[in-house]
Amino acid sequence: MNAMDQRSVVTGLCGRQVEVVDCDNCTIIPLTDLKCGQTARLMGFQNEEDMTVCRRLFDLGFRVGTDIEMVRKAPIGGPITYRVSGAELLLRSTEAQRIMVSVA
Amino acid sequence: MSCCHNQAPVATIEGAVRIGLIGNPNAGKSTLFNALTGLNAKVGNYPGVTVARYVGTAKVDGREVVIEDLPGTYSLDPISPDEQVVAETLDLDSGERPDGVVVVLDATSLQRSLGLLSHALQLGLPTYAVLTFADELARRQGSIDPAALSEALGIPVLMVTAGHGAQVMDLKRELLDPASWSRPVVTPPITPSAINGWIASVLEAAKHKPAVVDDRTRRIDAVLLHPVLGFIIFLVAMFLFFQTIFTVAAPIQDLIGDGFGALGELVSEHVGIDWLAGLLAGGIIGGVGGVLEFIPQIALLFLLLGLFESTGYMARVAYLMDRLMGKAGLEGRAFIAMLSSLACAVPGIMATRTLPSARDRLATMMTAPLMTCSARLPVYTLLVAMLIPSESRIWIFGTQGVVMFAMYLLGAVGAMAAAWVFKFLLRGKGPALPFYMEMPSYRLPSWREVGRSVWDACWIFLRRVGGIILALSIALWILLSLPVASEDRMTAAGVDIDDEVAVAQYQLDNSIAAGVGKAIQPVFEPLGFDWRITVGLVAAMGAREVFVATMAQVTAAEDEEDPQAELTEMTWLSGPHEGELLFTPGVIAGLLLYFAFALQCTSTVAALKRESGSWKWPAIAFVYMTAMAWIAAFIGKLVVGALVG
Repeated sequence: MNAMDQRSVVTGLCGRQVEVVDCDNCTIIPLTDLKCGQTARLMGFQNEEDMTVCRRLFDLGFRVGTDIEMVRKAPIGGPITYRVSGAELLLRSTEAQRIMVSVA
Repeated sequence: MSCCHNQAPVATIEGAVRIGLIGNPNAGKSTLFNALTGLNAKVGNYPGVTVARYVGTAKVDGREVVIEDLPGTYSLDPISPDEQVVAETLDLDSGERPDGVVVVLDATSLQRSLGLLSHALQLGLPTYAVLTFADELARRQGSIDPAALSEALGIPVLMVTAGHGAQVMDLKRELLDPASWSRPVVTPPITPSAINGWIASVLEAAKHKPAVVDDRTRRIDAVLLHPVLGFIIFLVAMFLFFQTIFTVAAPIQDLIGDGFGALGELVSEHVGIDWLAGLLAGGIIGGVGGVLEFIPQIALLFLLLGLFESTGYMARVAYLMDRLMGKAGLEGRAFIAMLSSLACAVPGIMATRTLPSARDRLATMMTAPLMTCSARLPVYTLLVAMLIPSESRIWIFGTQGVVMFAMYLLGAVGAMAAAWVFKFLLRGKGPALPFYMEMPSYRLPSWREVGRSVWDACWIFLRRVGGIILALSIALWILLSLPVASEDRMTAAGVDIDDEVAVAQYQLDNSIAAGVGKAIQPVFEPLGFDWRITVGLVAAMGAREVFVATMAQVTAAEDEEDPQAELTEMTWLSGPHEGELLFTPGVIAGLLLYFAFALQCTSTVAALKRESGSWKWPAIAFVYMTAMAWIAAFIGKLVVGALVG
């Protein structure tokens, strides 16, 4: 993850703007890079060619500033369980990859 | 589909207050609906879509409130047919717009459910919030002050715990007069960042302490979702699931079949007119029996599915199977429908309702009939026994058993491959849905909800599918039994009219079905099927296992259940092959493959029509499966013919 990629984090959401959360002294990584039991803060979404996906992720509780915990990963590239907004949700890595989080 | 004659049987009471229930999936919305309406609810369908519609009435103080349980949704920006229904019903232009909405909030995940509430408050309808699972919130050391929440939101809030009669009664009274509900002073914001701020401030004002991680669920999941142990438990659970359907439902089905058979005989004995007796016994009573025979399977399947769903295990099954189903472009939840289709494609197709994506639903229901259903079993047993001697072995396994297993595997692989093709062809139609699924906390099953889902499934099957099956069964009986062979004609043809088997054979040989069989026989000529096999295929349209009995009739076999000996000796009656054996190994292999792939079952066609909402999809399924069956049979005949000689 280089600096350019971090700049390209898209923050628009279904035409509704999300303010950019400043991030000093932290690393921005895709949600898929989290290890089991690790918690990180949601910063924004990337590569959102499809707005409906981001809108839905928002409605599922994946909101900027929310803490997300990686709970469990199914073997051989199966779905990943995250704890967000008080509930446990399954995502596939294709969706989880769009979510950018910061780890301290 | 036209909308007019397929409208739901909605309980509309002139002038009664109408309330819509909305909430996230798993928020306890259906439990609340059941508690409010009790047995005064009806299930129907929204026009044009296969989304079940629940409307009921709550009675309080001699007045009635009409309550509609809208499908569970995460958002009012719809992406699935279920969510579309919610958005359309609540839309300003909707003729069905309720007088008020009740938003069900799961107290254990308020950060998320308040997002839906903020959206709902934009509708401008009187809104009432109901907090559910407060007991679970307390168990998980969280807390919320409902009065403060109500003040912060500007709308009334009531805590309702499932099974708490007094709380439900209070809510019912409140529902009588939506106009009196307090309205928020300011509408919540609409931009995502502002919504975040709004939720945070509301929760702070309501003295919200979020629930801690559910230890009980974590501990159970550590076992049930374990990469090795989890799969073993899952396989055992699936094995028991399947066994239960076979061992419990099959004997009841036999009882129903025998019962209607006996009733049919009784009727034919007491009705003097032959054709009328035949129609009553064979067509109508046989048809009704054929419909009712599905009920034990459907009831049991939906009982087990309901238990899985209600306890939270269903989500875990989908988690475990997602990777495998992903290979076919489907998701974990489609596995349940495919598995159910091993018993029968009809409940399997009905089980696709749990899929949120319309494309996945279609791809699954279009391919589920390829799974080896129990009706194929008698046909396979007969044909495999004809093809392979029982003493033949591969290593320590009997070859017959190996071939049988291979047929099951072939069905599963065929279904997955076809699903992949359908997903590929349907790509770009409709939005690309992200895969997401909530892993609900484990909860004790709600028997009321399980019972309702069983009842609804059976009722919908009887009402919507049963009629079509009955009509097709009568049509098939007419094809097989008309024109009625007169005694004079039979005597003239040299048939001994006292010999029941010979009479039945003559009747069948001269029926419309035989005419149809002879007419379409050229299509099957390259596969080596003569017109008698073709008649068997026509008869198998009612139910595949009928093939065995029909072939027995065609050959006038002594044992109707096992005509193997007679079939083996059948020869071509005419044409270039006259005198040659009909059932060569190549032809038997071809027939096996034909049965594996062909959509012969009229009940499946009826279920497809009902669940997809039009005749288009069953027509496509019929064409592609028949084509696939024909090609597979042709190749099978050539290959096995070349191998065996």
